[in-house]
Amino acid sequence: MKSNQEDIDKKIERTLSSFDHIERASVNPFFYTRLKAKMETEKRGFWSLFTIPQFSMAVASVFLLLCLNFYVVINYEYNANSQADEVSTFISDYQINVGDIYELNE
Amino acid sequence: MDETVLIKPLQEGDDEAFKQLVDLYQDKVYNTVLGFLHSREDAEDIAQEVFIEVFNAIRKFRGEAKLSTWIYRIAVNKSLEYIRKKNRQKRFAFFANLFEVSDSNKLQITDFEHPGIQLEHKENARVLFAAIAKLPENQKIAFTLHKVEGLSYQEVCEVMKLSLSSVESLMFRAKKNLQKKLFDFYKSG
Repeated sequence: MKSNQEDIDKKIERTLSSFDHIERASVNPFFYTRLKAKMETEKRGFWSLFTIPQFSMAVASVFLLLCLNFYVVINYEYNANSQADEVSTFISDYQINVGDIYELNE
Repeated sequence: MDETVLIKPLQEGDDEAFKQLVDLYQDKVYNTVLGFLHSREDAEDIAQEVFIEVFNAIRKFRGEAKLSTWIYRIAVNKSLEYIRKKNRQKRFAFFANLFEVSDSNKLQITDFEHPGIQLEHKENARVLFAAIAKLPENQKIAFTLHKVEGLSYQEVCEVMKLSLSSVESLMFRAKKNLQKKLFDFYKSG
């Protein structure tokens, strides 16, 4: 029991003294170059995330989407009008706009 | 090299002075940050953040402390911010593993090996780094700056803005805590 305690004490002592001859760690080579590159990226900020072709593509896509929306809305109104005309022609041809069935016999 | 010579050109945005400053402090900053983060990749990232902060804030530097003290302070703050951020993410992960039982006091030995430790001490140093990670923040700062970065008690006082007796007390308590944590670790293992 006592030897176990002594053994643990020795391990603790060895562990605590493991830093006694520690040497300073050095950065990897070209640290300054990487640092400057990071600073440049941060300086350009948010817009640096996009290249010019990416930005042009994004603008063109939004424009195309707006055109498609506009086309669909116009076309829908035109179809709705022409459908209404067809329905009224059908109603008058078959005389189904009559309020009362006895009106036909009069 | 006298660091005070660098201050004025740095405040004027001189790139050459900044390069000299980086050359002068890169290992000191990296070693300090590595002592806290225990990961070479994270330490390099945070060391870069430290120098970016130095570059951006140097105009506000009034010379009340030594330039080295100021840089060490930024390095310590950035490291602790990073650790807190990581711990918050871990706490969030805790909710995902709500039913998983974990002992937060248990030492978590990682694969991290400090490059400045002699080969025969590497195994013990890994255990010691794991124990340091469990210390209260102030004790961790004092112990890391003194033992890993090799600052004198006086320099630790300046970085932490504490009196000498406070730092001595922090170091005493840190050693006691480490002994207790190591005892529990070796007893259970």
